[in-house]
Amino acid sequence: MNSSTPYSIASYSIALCLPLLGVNAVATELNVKLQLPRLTAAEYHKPYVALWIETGDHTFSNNLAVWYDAPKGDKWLKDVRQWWRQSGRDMKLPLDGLSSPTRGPGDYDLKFSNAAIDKLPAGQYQLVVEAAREHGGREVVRVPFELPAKTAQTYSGKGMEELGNISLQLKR
Amino acid sequence: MKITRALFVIGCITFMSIDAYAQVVWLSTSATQVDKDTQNPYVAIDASASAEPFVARNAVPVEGLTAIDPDGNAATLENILVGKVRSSADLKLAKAGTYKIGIEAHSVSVSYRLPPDSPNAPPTRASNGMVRRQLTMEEYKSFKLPNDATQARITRNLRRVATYVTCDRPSNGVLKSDNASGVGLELIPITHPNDMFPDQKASFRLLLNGKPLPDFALTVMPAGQQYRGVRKEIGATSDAQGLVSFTLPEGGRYWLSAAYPVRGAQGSQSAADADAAPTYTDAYTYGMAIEVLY
Repeated sequence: MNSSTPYSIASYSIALCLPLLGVNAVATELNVKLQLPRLTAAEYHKPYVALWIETGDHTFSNNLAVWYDAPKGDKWLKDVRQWWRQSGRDMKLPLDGLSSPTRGPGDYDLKFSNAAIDKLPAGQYQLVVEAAREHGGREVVRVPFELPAKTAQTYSGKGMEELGNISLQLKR
Repeated sequence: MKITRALFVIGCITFMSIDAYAQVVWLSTSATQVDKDTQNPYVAIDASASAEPFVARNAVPVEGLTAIDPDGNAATLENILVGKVRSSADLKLAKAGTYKIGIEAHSVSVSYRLPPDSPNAPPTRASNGMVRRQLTMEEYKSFKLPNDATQARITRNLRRVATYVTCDRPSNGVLKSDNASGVGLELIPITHPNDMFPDQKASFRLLLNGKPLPDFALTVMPAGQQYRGVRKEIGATSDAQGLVSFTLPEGGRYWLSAAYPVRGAQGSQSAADADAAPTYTDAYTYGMAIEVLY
């Protein structure tokens, strides 16, 4: 059901939104600030992290990023469970512009300017961030937002263990 | 069919039939999703009867326990065990896709009144002269209503319990409503039962004898009442097309159940029908275990 790859999403969305192009002529910038907390664990492994966008009713929309250890970690991608069930199991990684290596604790400033967001119909969406750590926990944080972005808007969320503060800024 | 709880218990003690338990018969599996590349592509199935779904108390017969593979064929159950507390079996998920596991149990409830001095009276009966019996289909074949019985009620019971498990990617073959038997009460998943997420809306269709059952209540009960006390039931009622939709608030197991006719809704046995001919009714229950994974 949720079998869309980024490619098919893009083409589907373009078809859907052609009439809106006039409205959305200015590209929307999507910036995510993401905190991976430092955890005291006997055996710490950097988490696998996936970022994606879903609609207000939790339907998968499009992928933003996947951090994992390619290629030896391919078989653990399914442990990023919600992302795997919504999208991961239907795609082939690594993928340029989407997948990149895992990262340790710290604050990350991520910019997504692939314009995919401008092709989405107006409505309620959620940024979803999922982090899964070997011998550790797994956590999903959803940050609801609205499209189209009118002016600069900031939305935020917060994890309990595996994820820290998350903020999403939409700029046109 | 108006049976008080006390009489239910008497029937249970007297005849030791599982249908007489004032309990829920339920099924659960050790997992609802298994990955194709696992070394051990099995799930363990538990079936039991208890006051609280998912908390095993009394083993149930396994004769009606079956599994259907993603292609619609019967799947083999292994290591079948009828214990004291629960019955169980192992199921190998040899194919990718969704399997349906179910129990279908037919029985007959009989109740009638005998005069105080009746030679047909069983050793134990309620003080008001009512005799209540739970019969298997085999027992019912040889059952004869005593000739001095009055107010006889014969209820044919069909109880179904179902759950779903998936290997790798969920498939829809075993969910389709055209696989419905068309007999009794049935609950057909619209949202895939192995692909639900917390805080997501789930939809099912209620069927009675193959037709949508409108304006009918489905009980949705999260597991774990023993740890929280309150039931936290999610009420849901079918629309004109028999469609029932509700939001599953969080991860966990849920027990979905419905009974037709609604217990207590049927006419009670009044003195007026004391001499009436025996009445025959059908009673259906349907229960489904689902699991929402985080």
